[in-house]
Amino acid sequence: VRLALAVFGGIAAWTAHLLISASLVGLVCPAATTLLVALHATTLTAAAVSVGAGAVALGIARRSRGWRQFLAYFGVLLDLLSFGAVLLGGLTPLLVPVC
Amino acid sequence: MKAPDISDARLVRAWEDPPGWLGKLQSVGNNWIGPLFIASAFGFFVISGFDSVALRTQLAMPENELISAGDFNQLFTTHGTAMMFLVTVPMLEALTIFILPMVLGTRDMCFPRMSAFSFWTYVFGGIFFYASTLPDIGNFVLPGTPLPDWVPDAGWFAYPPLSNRVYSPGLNIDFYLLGLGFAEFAGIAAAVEIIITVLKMRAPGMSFDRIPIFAWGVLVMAFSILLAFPAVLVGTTLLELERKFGLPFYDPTLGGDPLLWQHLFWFFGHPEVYLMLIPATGIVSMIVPTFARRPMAGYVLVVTAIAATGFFSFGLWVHHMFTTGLPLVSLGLFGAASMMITFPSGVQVFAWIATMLNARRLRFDTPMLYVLAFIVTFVLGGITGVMVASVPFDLQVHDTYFVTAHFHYVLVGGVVFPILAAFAYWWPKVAGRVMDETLGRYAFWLIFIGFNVTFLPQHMAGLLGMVRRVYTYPDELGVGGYNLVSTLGAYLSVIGFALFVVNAVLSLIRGSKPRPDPWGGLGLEWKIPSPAPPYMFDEIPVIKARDVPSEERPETWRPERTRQTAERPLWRETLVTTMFDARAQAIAVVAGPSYIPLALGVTMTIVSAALLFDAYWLAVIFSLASVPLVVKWLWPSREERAYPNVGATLGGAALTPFATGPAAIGWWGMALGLVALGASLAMTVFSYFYLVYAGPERPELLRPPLAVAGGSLALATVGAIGALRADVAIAGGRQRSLRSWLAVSIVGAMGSAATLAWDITTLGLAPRESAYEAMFVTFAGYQVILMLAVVAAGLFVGAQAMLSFFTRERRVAVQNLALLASFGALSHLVTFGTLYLSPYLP
Repeated sequence: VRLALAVFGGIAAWTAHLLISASLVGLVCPAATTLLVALHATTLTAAAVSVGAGAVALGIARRSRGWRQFLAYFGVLLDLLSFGAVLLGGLTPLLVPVC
Repeated sequence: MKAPDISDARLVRAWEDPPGWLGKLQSVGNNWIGPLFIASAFGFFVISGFDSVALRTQLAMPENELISAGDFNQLFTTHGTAMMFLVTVPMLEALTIFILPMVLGTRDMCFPRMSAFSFWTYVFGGIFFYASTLPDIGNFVLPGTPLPDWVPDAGWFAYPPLSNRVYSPGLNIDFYLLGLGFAEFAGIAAAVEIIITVLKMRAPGMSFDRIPIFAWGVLVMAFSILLAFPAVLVGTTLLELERKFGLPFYDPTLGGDPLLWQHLFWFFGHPEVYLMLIPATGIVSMIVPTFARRPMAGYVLVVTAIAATGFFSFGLWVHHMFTTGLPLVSLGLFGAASMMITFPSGVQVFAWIATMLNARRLRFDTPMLYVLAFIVTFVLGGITGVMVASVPFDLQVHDTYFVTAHFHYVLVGGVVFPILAAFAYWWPKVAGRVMDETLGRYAFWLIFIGFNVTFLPQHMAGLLGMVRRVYTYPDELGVGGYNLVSTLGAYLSVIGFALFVVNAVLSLIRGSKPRPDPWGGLGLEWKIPSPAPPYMFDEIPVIKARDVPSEERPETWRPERTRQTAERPLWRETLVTTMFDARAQAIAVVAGPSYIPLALGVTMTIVSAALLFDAYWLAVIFSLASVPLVVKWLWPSREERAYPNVGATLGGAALTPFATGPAAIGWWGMALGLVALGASLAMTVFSYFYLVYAGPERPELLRPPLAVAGGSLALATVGAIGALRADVAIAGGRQRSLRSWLAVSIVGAMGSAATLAWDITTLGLAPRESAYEAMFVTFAGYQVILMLAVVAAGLFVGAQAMLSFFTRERRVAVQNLALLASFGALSHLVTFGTLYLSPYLP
């Protein structure tokens, strides 16, 4: 379970970030400040989850060998990419009007 | 004591097909179905290719009147639809069905009859789709005959309102929707068995860190199909319900929304592009190391890149909808995701380049030429992809020839070139001969130059303002020259493809016979004879490293030899291994020849034709006719029941032929089928909430009474508990208890279906007058059908229980019923929460 969370934690965080942020825009939009705060909070949470999952995956990778080590490194890279995707998406509210 | 040996002749007999062409109609083996599947996909490719040549001929000159606007619409619709649904994805699945067992060191796909069913469904679906052209052909042969025009003509995406009954009143779109249903069904069936074969049937020792990259690619492709295809299944079902029965899901005047179709279609459509690309990159990662004489550089990086591409592809669908008026922030979010996907793609490109730079001596045989062409065109297509991922740029070039050029660079460069490379590379496995190198090179250069001459000018034409899907353009636009060059390029490509086919045919007649390993490949497929025998491996290899150099013979093992079955008939046996570390776990007996897949394909075609012409009585008759076929397929034969529970050993592990739970491939089949059903459920929930909260106007929600639907949910739960307890009972060897719990399960599910159906009919809904009420009825109706499926499965298992077929060891069918009934209850909970409880929320 720990390995699964480490491998898929980042990608789950990115998915949640994308879906929650896109939904928030539709639901909260007239209240621009509230929306902005909610979007940034979502980004920070998702980024933290990605980094956390990556750290756990790295720990497992250092302690294990064979297929388990392979999956853990796979998780580290996937979490890293997810972290990048969350940050890139999270920049959007800083660049365009939110409502 | 040494086990008695079994002669190779008996092994061959166990795996060979019945004689003659009738025997071939029953054949289910991957080395027959795979090439047949590939040939069929190639046949559709040729038909669709002629469509594109006709399109290009029309566009060669400005203000050309060679083809009418209506015919042009039909041509680009059939071209796009066939290329996406009948050519590329099926071609890759077909290639997978053929090659995967060889690459993984197993003897066949896990469910050979499913392969055959997928193939026949696909072929009949394609024929069904193209049957729409029959009246046109009739008009051509007998001019002036008043025949209807049935060819689909609303584009391969069939956006409503253009595709609704008002603007497309004929059968055109019905052909498209029902034909698409076939392709999706075939795709999902093939995906299920690809996943199980990769996860559970690898050679022992082929742990996760040793899986060939091609297998990783097809695994990600199959998961993407499983999750993406249900979206378009839901979308097409809703559209067909709207067209046939007037349920206004996409009609904004009655609370529907055409954008719902776009969301559902592109949630499938964008991953579709990547699910074609991903296995193609897997093919490239098999070919590059062979011709570089080096293992693939950055294995972990490449595998991660493949998986990441698969994941990110599900977050990009909105980038097809940048011009639909969505909020800027949403566009930015999806634009960012679109740009992010370039990272994993870039990683793969650099890994291929690194492998080539590290080559001992890089050889440039024909497969490698296609690989190099792929890398160049894929990078160009990727760069224009980044350009259209930028929202402001996309707003300018949307629906222009720039986008046409972009996706042809990605799809032809990124998918067709690797497929051609795979043909040339693995051809000896089909034909037992190598294609002629000189002809191959001529064909390659004609195709490569022709392709670039066709599509490079289209970037310019698009930037100058030439829009897509118009049958002609004014001379003043200044794009006539680009179009003429583009058309000449298309003709050049046709000559190249024709030469490729000629080369393949000639090689069958007079090609040189190769050694088993003509290229010096590192994969297991080159350790067996060419062409591959029906059983693939007489002895299953035991894997010790990721790559097996051509000069090495892997250690092997043969299940029959340790099972002392010399006096019994031989079965089609192969090995099941554990998911991550590929330890030997059980013996799998795969199915042999049968007419059932073909017969089911025929009945499905007749049902679809009946639905097309509103002959519902005929559809019901043939649906009922398919029931005994399904029962016959799944019912254990006398021979299967007599199959001895005599294990074998491998590396000290005792292996049983009667695995249960996750050790059984049948259990995985059901579990993955439920994943696809779960994805359909998720899309239905999305559609409901989209219409309620994001539609043109918020409907007045019903607050339906909870008692009856709640009772139905309780009964579904009873049904699930009954099935779960039945499994516990038979695990303890209690036959009477098994039957009792099965009865509870059947009665529970039946009661659940009946009460929910009664509730829907008594709520007084008017589904033709409101999209919300149409969605309510459809959603709840889906749940009723699901519970009826649980009843049918319960009766099927119950009949076997009455005949005492089940034992502690043989109970996968009971476990599968438990899975299905549990899913039914869970789905009911979601249905209840969405339709009945959510309207009470503030």
